[in-house]
Amino acid sequence: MSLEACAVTFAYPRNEPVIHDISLALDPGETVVLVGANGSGKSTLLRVLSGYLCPQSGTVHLKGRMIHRLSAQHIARRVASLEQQPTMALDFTVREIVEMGRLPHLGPLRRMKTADHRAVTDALLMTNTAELADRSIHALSGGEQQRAFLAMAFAQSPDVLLLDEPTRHLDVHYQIETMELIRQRAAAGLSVLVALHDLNHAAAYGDRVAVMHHGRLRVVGPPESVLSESLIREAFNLACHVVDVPSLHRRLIVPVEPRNDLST
Amino acid sequence: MTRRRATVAGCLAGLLLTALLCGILFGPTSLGVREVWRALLPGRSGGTVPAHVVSIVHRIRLPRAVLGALVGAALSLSGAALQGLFRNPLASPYVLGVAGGAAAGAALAILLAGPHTWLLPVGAFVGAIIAVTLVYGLARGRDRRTSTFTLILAGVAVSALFGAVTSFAIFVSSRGERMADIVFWMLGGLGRADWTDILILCPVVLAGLLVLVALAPRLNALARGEQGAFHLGVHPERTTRWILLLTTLLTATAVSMAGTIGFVGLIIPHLLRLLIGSDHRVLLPASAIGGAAFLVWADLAARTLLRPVELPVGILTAFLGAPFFLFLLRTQARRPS
Repeated sequence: MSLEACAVTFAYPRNEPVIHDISLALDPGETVVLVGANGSGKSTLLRVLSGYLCPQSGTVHLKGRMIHRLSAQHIARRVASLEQQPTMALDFTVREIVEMGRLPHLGPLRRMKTADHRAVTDALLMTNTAELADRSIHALSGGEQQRAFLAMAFAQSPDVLLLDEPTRHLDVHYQIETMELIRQRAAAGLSVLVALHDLNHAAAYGDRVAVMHHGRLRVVGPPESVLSESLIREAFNLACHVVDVPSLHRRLIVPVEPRNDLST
Repeated sequence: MTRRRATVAGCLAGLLLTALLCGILFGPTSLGVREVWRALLPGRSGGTVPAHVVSIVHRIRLPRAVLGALVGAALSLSGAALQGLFRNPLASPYVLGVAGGAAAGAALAILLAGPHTWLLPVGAFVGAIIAVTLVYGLARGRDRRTSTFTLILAGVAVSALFGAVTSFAIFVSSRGERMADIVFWMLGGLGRADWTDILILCPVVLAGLLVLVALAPRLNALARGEQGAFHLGVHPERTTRWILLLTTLLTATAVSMAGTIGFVGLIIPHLLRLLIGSDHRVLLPASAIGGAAFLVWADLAARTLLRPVELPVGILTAFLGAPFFLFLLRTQARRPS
């Protein structure tokens, strides 16, 4: 078990709980896709799992240790996390941003060593951003920026990767590229929890799919058993057809216009 | 980028050295390069130097140039660190009211105890800490972000408050001889430089620079916002407190010696950020050297432009800096944040 949440409940100060009683465990090499309507608590769950928010009840364990007792630096050596639409308030080059990924591994004087430089180079090559390394992040397209931030997360050499809608605002090509990149890292042993809106990506890339509904974890399981017409109608208030395409080994979710009757 | 940085570093070092040299050479009495050289290194050169030259170099111009360099470095370094911390290129010790707080503290200290007492730097530091706490508290929204406009508005409000304290100190002292002392702080000048000041400021600037450079990678990570910085293993609040403490210490010490010299901490880091990027590992030392060179040049201009009248250098930097600030505000306001 890389990362494990046990009965986690979290509320922002003076508010109703945003997530209720959630238990979820990530195995090494596994990709779990988190889906759910807007406001269902996906981002909050990711923030709690990353150690950034401390739950009011329940626990999160990272490799068997309580995450909220660990220092930020200790967590960041094992967990890389990208919030929704990561941004840089000031102007940095791609290489400088990827180098930030090494920060949790550096000694007290924060000097980069040979191994750190190698991890940065590897992350740049992996994400195909080496040729962008000396360009300013603000001069890049949305897709290129997203790849640069992924490179930063990979440079952290984490065991666990938490991503909040990494394909948001990307064109179709970059969405696929990003998801393939994540799949490769999972194949190399990383545990990945990724929040997505696209149910077809969830079906294609998730080893398991976790469905959030009104702050609760409605169901977790393999995509072919979880992503059914009835569950999607309940969790997303959406009528759809679910089609299995054996030649592609794919399950496709095809939304139906709300006014159309499913039976016709 | 690496090449450009090397070029910029070379230029800055050259500017600082020439500034220090010119700061010693030029003044009401023009000195020759050879005389100054002999006065600086008495043992090695053969010829004797007139006593008044030695006196001018050692007791007036050298301390003034060195103090200018240290004050410029302290203010510019603080500005660069504050811009990084607030993720805002408009932040600076003056815009944020830190310097105003220090000036008010200094004014009260002069009023109570007179100039040249230990109370002066302490008062400046306490005033600066109160100001920065107020501005930070006011500008920090519920979402833990500091927007440009609330930050500047909070800075304006706090500066006005502390400006009133300073004015009050002047008003109360108006019949005593201490008024001139207080007015000196408000105008900002290097005319009272002496070696004691330098002996205090030099270690503060060096220590501030070292610790801030050590914090630079964490300051870089804070550009991702508090959550993003946490994901990189940086404790956002702890880092924020350290940087506020160090920049306040640097600003307060500089202000307690040279009064309020504005805009150095805004212009220099901003220009350097445009030239060499935002990586604080490089930007912070570059800002320190750039600020040092700028203030020595500015002081040289201030005391030679209107000869024989010596203009307080704070007036000159404000003349240069205020239009620059307005220009920045315009370009920043157009950019969606």
